[in-house]
Order: sequence, then structure tokens, then C-alpha cells
Amino acid sequence: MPAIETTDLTKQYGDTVAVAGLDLAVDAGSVFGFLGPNGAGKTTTMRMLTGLVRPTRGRATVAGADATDRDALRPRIGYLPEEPPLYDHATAYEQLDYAAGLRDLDPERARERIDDLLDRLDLPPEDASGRIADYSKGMRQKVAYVQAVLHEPDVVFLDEPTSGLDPRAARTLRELIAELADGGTTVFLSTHILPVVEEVADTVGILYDGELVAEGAPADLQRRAETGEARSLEDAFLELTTDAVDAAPGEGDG
Amino acid sequence: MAEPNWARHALRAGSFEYRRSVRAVRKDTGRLLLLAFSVLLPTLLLGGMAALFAPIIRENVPDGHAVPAALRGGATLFWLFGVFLLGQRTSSAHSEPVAAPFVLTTVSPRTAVVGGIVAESLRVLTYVLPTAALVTLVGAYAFATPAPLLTVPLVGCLFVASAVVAGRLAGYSTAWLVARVPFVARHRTGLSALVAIIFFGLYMLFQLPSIPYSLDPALLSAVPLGWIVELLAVGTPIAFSPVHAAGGLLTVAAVLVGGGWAAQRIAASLWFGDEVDPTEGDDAAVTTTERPAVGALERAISPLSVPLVTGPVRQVARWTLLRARREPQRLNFLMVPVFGGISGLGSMVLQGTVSPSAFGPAVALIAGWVGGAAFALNPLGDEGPVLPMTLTTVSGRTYVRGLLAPALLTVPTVGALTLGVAVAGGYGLGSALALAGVGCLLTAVGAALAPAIGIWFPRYSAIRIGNSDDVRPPRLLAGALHTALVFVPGAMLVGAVVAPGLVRLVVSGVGAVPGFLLGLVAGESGGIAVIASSFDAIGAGIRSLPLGVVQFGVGGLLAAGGVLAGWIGYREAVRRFDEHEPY
Repeated sequence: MPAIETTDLTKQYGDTVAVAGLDLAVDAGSVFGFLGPNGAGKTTTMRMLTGLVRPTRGRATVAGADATDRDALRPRIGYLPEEPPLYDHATAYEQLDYAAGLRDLDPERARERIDDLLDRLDLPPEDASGRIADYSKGMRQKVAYVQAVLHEPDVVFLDEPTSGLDPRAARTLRELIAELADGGTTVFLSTHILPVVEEVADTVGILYDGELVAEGAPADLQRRAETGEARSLEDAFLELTTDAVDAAPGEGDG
Repeated sequence: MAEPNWARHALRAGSFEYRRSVRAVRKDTGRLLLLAFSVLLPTLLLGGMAALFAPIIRENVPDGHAVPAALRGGATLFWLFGVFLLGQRTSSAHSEPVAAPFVLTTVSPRTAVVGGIVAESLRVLTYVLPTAALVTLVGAYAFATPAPLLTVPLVGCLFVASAVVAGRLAGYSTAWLVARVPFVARHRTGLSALVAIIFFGLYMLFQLPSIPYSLDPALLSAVPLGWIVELLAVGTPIAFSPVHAAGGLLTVAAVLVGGGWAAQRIAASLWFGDEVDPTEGDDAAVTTTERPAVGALERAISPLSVPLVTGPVRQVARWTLLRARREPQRLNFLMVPVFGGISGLGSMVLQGTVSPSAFGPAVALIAGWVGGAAFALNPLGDEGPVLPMTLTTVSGRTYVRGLLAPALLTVPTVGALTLGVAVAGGYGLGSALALAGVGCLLTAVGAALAPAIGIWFPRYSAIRIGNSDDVRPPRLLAGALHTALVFVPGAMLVGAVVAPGLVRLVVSGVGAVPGFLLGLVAGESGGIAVIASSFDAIGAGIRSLPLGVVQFGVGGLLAAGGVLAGWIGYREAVRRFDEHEPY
């Protein structure tokens, strides 16, 4: 059974169609790379899948829960939006203690997990004891990532998780994402950094103008590019998101 | 060192900032109406007085009289009052330029400081413009001379500009002390409260001649700054002292130049220096321990604690308390009724127009309202960027209960405070206990209503309060609605305890008012007259009720209504949170 499944998922704001009839199935324990240019509808899709926005039409289930049923969804998902959801006036420890308490996690287990993840992400205790208002973008991103995966959710939604991270931390995060998937967590990863997707994603979906114009393994997408020559995912992305308007809908779907 | 053409840049920066703030006010209808009201009300009052007295002055111009010393002293007192307010504003809201990273890497500190002064002066001038225009016209009419058309705007502009410069200097200095001196940084809330109490205490001594140790404003006439009002006499039949006028002009010039120079030096040091860590040496601050993360929130709110509730509800309650402690600027809106109400009442008590016993009912009402409004009048806005995390983590029931808990924790404090003040004010134990009960009930009802109103009318856009651009106080509409829902029935409830006769009279209006209105349109007979007399009879019936019945009947109904409203508010808040879509 797919961990994420959408059928005709659509979101309209007035006359503007943000997401148009999205049909998607993401296997449990896989990493799904969600690509698309700015304004394609990626974030709106994530918001619908996390229950933050109700679809105008269609249906979505996440880890077996209907995406409009927030009570069922909450324990199953973790979400790292593009803007790290952190309180400036808290310290990282206070923020993570807060999140662990909201999830009613076992204190001992929460402590071990927080310490382990912060250690892996190279955020030492002296930094984690300082106010988030004084953090760099990368430090905020690290804390927000820990917060999103603290409760070991079935599905985690990551919107630009490597944004602002230094190369070492970005590499660690890619390893952590791979470990999450190895542990059975489904990762829904939205990013503009295509090499990240190439490295960690099992499947890639490309959204353009609210429509899914391509879906498949990164290597498949490369092969499917018009010339058929071995090219990068970036080339495939650029081609698909440039010509998609003129192509028949679903032409590139896998 | 300032860049070439700094004066032109400062004027441009100041006018840009002024236009930006005007646009911000225009976008906020509630704030615009409040500002318009606060500007037009005194203008209308002054206009009424001018209409009465200007013709009399015109007929009886006091020829040859000198400008009284009390007027020069009063002007100085008013100037100092303005400097204090503007200084507070600078230290709390304008200690850095708006968009500081851009401004400070583009122009010199001098340009930034002068630009800020220009913007603030334009804002103040806009605020006082209707009153100043009225004074100008009335002066010209009353003294039958065009001179006030020139002198009033001139004196007004110099007065405002010098007060703004001095206010900026005071504000930057305060912000510098907070940024550089650990003791001041740690105790800034207490210290600023102390300074405010001392300032307003002194101000009251000058303003209220009836109180003990009061001071004559004429004492301040020795300060040359107020001498500038002497210029207002130029061209009128009032005798004019060139010495005072020249002294006033020189002092204003010294404030503008010297104060501006000093403000620039202090601001540059403030903006480009390192801040001290206010938690340095503070044992309560989070320190690296064996278990730093777990329990961090509990340690952070210590010595406060959240008893009785557990689990996620307690976490929300703890965070709500921590936010109030770490971001006290967001509670500034509570100061309006507290200082406005209590200081207004205090002033009336000092003047002998109201009995000191009025403090008991007032504290029941105001403390009850504050307890309810403090934590939850803008919960979604308070969450800021964390809102998606909160919505995907906790249920509405958990969240709203977590918001209610800190407010409900204030119930015993409100009860004890009200009881103490009521007993001190001369009420018997029974009445004092009843007032304390009302205070507790209002706190609980206000607490339950606040999240519902706050979620219904959230404010997401941040405004600049303190040194933060990221403060989201409740919307004016939310505050007004909550105040009306707590204060109006609360006042009736307090009245039922201490003035049941008055409450009986007010309640009888249910019959008397429609009876009176219908009586106006009805003849002596006919259907409407019958209905009118029925209403009159209802009013008369209520007026004949024994006071005990009013106390327990009306009081009981209001208390039950409050409990019901609180319950409905709680349910509504939970529903709205669960259904909220943040985008």
C-alpha cells in the first residue's frame, strides 16, 4: 500500500488553479523527490498532504489517514516547511522540549533522540542553549529538521531541507534522509537542489503549472529526455518545465 | 563621517519613512479610526471652547499684559512630557532604523539619525495639525492680527523638532544602556517601570495642585526652553519679551544641534557595537547540563510552574508563559486600560471627586479583564512561522486548554488582589468577598472568550514594538470585542454588588426606554399607547423590586450568562483551531 496516495487532488484559489488533478502514489519507505519551478504548486501540494489546506477537489491519504482528517494525520507525519517553524525567543533545547512534550514522547527517548540528531548535525550543546533569534539560517534549519523527525513519523515532508546548510551539514542531512527511508519512513522531499534529489530520491515527480508532467526514477527521467542521450536530471528538469505547456498533459508521466 | 549630500539623503529617507508609516496606518482601519478619534476629539473640544471664548477675547484684548511665567513653565512641562513619550518610543520601537541592514550599509549614521528625526517630526506634526491649525486661526481671530498665522506654526515646528531630537537622544541613550550594561539589560523592565513611575509622579505634582506637595508649573519658567512661547506674543497686544524669546530660540537651536550631534554619536555606538548577553551570570538561564533538552521549557519558566494540567496541554501552557516573559512588548496593549483606568481613577480620588472605595470594584473589573486578555487574544498570530507545526502537532482541544491554563492560574491572584483592595477601600467582608468572586469569574470568562475572539480575528502581520519587527499584538477589533464582552456585563455584575440601586435603574431601562420611545409616537389611546404603557409598567415593576432580589437575580443571571458565554467561547475556539487553514 502506498504511503502517500492522491487522486485528482486539486486546489483552486479563486480562478487560479494551484494544483490540478494530481494523481500520485509514493511507496512506503521511499524517498520521493518533488521538483518544479517556483510557483508550480509544490508547497500547496505539501500543505494539502499535511492537512493544512483543504483540497478543492480530489482525495489524498497519507500513511493510511485521510489528509483532511488532522486528528488521524498528526501522529503519522512530520513537516519541515520552507521557513523553519521555530520561536525566536526560545533556545533550541526549549523548542525541541516543547515539540517533544506536544507529541507526548517519552522524555528519556526524546532526550536520546535529540542529543543524537543534534550531534549528527553538528549543533553542539553550547549552541543549542542559545536563543534561536541569534542562529544562522543553517542552524535554524538543523533544529527544524530535528523537530520534524523527532517523533519518528511514518511520513515526513521536507520543503527545501538543505537550504542554508554548509556542505558538511548538507551531506549529513542527505545521509539522515537516506537512513530515515531505510528505517521505513517515507520522505516527501521538495527542493530546487537537483543533485540532492539525484542522490537520495528513489522516485522523482516534476510539477509544472500545477500539473505532474513527469514521474519516475531519476535515471528514467534522464533517459526519457527528448534526445535520449545520457544527460543530467537538471537538463531533464529544464526541458520538461519549458516544453510542458506545449506538450500533451501527462506526456512525460511515467 | 557623513557622506556627501547627507542632508538631502536624510530628508529623502525621512520622507520615505514617513510615507511608509502613513500607508501602514491607512491600511489598518481600526488604528486609523482610533487615531482620527484621538486627534479630532481634543480638536472639537478646543473648537467648542474657542467658539465660546474667542469673541470675548476679541472684544476684551488684555492689552500690554506680559506672557505669564506659568505659561512658560507649562510649556516646558509639556515639552518634557513630549520628550519622555518620544524617548520611550525611540528606545522601545525606533532604536534601530527600519530595514537597518540596508540603511546602515548605504548611508552614514548621521543620515540615518536625521532621517529618523525628520520622519518622527512629520508624524508628530501630522498628529497635532488639526489642533495647531485651530489654535492658529483662533489666535488670528481673537487678537485681530495675522501674526499668529506665522508665529504659531513656527513655534509649533520648533517645539516639535526639539522635542523629537531630545526624545531620540534619550531613547538612544536608554537603548545603549540596555545593550551595553548587563545590569540594565537584565532588569530593564523593572528599571523602565521605575523611571516611568518617577516621571509621572513628578508630572502629577505639577499637574494636580490639590494634592499634597504639589508644585507650581511657574517653577519651570526658569528653564529657557519654554521661553520660546514668548514668540507667540509677537504682533499681538500681549507684551513681548525679546530676551525671553531670544533665549528660547537659542536654547531650541542648542537642543537641535547639540542634541542631534549627541544622538548621532550614541546611535552609531549602539548600532555598530556588540550587545551584552542579558543572561550572562544568570543562573536561571539554560545551561549545558546532563539532560539539557528534556525539561528545558520547565526550567525556562521557573520559578513559575503550571500545576494541575499534564502532557501536551501543559507544554502549550508553559510556552504561553515563556512567550509572555521573553516578549513582554506584546502585552503593552494591556497597559491602556490599566494605566488609563487606574490612573484616571487615582486622579479623581486625589481630587476628591470619587471615593477611594471605587478602587475595589475597579480592580475587580480591570484585573479580571487583564487576567483573561493577557495570553490568548492573538494565538494564531503569536505562533508566527511555527503555526504549521502547531496545527500539524496538536488538536484544538489541547491547544486551547493550554492557552487557558496560564490565564486561569491568575484567578487566585486576581481574587486576593481584589479582596485586599476592597477591604482597604472600606467594604465589609461580605461585599469584598463578592467583589473578589466577581474578579475571579471575570478572569475565567475572559480567559475562555479570548482564544475564540483571537482566533476569529487574528493579526498575522507583525508590527514594530520594542527592538523587534516581529511583534503581533491582538487586532484592535479583537481587543475591543473582548473588552466589551467582559467590561459591560462585568460592570453590571460589579454594580450588582456595590450599587444595586443603580443596576436596578439601568435594568429598568428594558421597559422604560421602549415605553418612552413608543410614548413619543403614540397618542393617548390606541394600540401603540397600550404597548407603551405595558413597557412602562415593566420598567416600573423592575424599579420596585427589592435590592436583594436585584443583587441575586441580576447578579445570578449575569454570572450564569458569563459561564455559558465562556463555555461557548471555548467550544468555538477549539472548532476554529481545528478547521483553521493558515494559507
